[in-house]
Amino acid sequence: MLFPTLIFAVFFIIVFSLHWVLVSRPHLWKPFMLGASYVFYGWWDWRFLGLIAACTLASHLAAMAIARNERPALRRLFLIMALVFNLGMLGFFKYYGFFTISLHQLCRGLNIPCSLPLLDILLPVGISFFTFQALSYVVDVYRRAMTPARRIIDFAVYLAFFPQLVAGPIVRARDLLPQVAHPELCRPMDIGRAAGLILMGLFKKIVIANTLATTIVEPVFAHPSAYGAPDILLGIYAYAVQIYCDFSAYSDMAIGLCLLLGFDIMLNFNAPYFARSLQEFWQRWHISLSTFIRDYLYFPMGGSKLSERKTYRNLIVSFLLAGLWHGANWTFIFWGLLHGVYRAAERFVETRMLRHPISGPIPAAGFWQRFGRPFLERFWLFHFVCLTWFFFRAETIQDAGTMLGQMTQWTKPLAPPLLIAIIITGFLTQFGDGQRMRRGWNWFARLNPVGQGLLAAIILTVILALGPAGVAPFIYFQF
Amino acid sequence: MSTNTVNRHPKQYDPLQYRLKLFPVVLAVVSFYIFAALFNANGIKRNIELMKYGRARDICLSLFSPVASFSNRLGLTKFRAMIETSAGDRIRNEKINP
Repeated sequence: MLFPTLIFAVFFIIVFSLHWVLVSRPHLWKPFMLGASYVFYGWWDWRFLGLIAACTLASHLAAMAIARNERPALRRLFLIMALVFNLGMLGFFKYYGFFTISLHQLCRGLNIPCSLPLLDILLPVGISFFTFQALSYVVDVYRRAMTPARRIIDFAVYLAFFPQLVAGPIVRARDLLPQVAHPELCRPMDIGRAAGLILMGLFKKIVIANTLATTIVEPVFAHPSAYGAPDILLGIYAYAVQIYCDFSAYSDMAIGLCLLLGFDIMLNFNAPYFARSLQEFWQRWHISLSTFIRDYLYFPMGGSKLSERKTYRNLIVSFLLAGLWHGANWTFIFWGLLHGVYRAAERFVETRMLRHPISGPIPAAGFWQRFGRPFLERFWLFHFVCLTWFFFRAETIQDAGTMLGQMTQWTKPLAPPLLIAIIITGFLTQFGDGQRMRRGWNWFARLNPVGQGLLAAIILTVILALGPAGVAPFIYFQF
Repeated sequence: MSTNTVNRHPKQYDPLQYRLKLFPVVLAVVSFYIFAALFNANGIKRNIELMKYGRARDICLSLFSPVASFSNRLGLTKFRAMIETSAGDRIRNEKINP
């Protein structure tokens, strides 16, 4: 069930109505919301409901066992069991095929007999998101940052909560669990912000991402040799905008739907292509994943508290695993490696050569310091990120190499001006996130409710009329 | 045991205040659904017609056909058609051709 579809619209109005009827009776609301979330998830493939139920049960039992035991060895044992279960499940469904094929290729290269069975495993939608949420719960209980949910149904509702179930944000248990444990305390919050985020999300997904996907990105990536440097460059700009609009649209809609139901979840994007350094980029792009990796991987490895060399190692390993999280393909690993090496180099330059960090406050002196340097840093960083998107989008590293090779072939640009205008519009939508839209949302919130409904319906109609027919799945569903 | 994290919501539960705050939100959402259905009646009907033949499709069609004809009679569907022909079709037909 995709957000911008008729079936979801029908599903949501039913859930929205019953939610507000039942919310003051938590003993009825919790089974209802769990059932609704399972219907939402089971719409793709009901067989995977067992997976999310097993993840819920195992993680909650482990968290309870950790909380009830004071002996460090036992606590660690239960933590390891939960990690093995969740990561094992993720590894089997997401990476089994990739690792067996890679191992077969390696063995063939070394002339070693190898007979691992090749299985055709269907990837469950959103498995990377809900397993990470379950992990955050168990680890936080282990670290005594929170106590486990009082009842398993509270944790089950948190893990399966439908607005953020299949493509994030990866909401931490300590943020959402208290809200779903006490739904009677939630309020209809900030209708202006909710409507703004949902409509902005629909615009980004339907008009920008879907249009760019069908008109530029797919043709250019399918036949790169047919295009010259200007169109390849435009193709990668289009992909940078498409992936941002596609993913942030889902996050925006998830946050907006949560707000309509009275829940508050974290922002996942904050003008990422406006970053001046890679560190800042990751503070603005998929914030819930980058903070997850920072808190549950980078810091436990030692972060930047150890020697310089170990800090670089930690950075590269963190980014490598972030790349692997995105998908079972060498292209994602290489993408992560590029980010890791660049970030390590950035840190080296910051600590050894510059007095101030690249992304630090801009000194209020001179045109160059105030405008020139930040512009050049943003321009450079955006193009580095675009370079890495070649590997992220391509089927193989060789394909990405072919595309980069085409950059040396100068031909007359083929892209019509309208498509360039759509790319620029998509790029500008990142400034519509977060606090920048606050004034517009406040104005919307001051309208009378029927006026709000009418205005939102007019905007939706314009969006639907401008976008291509049909709705492509969100890119991040595959992760 | 209970969750120990900070609860961001106010602790008091006042049913009257609660309903007063909820009513405008529900009205806005319901109005949105009604207007959106009227403006996009032809598109929704097309979507329903694309459903698999069966009882669900028949029920949806019989429920939605009166809405679509009402909307067409009022001329509300012309708004979307006008945008589609003036801008939407142009965007859809643009392509980067080698």
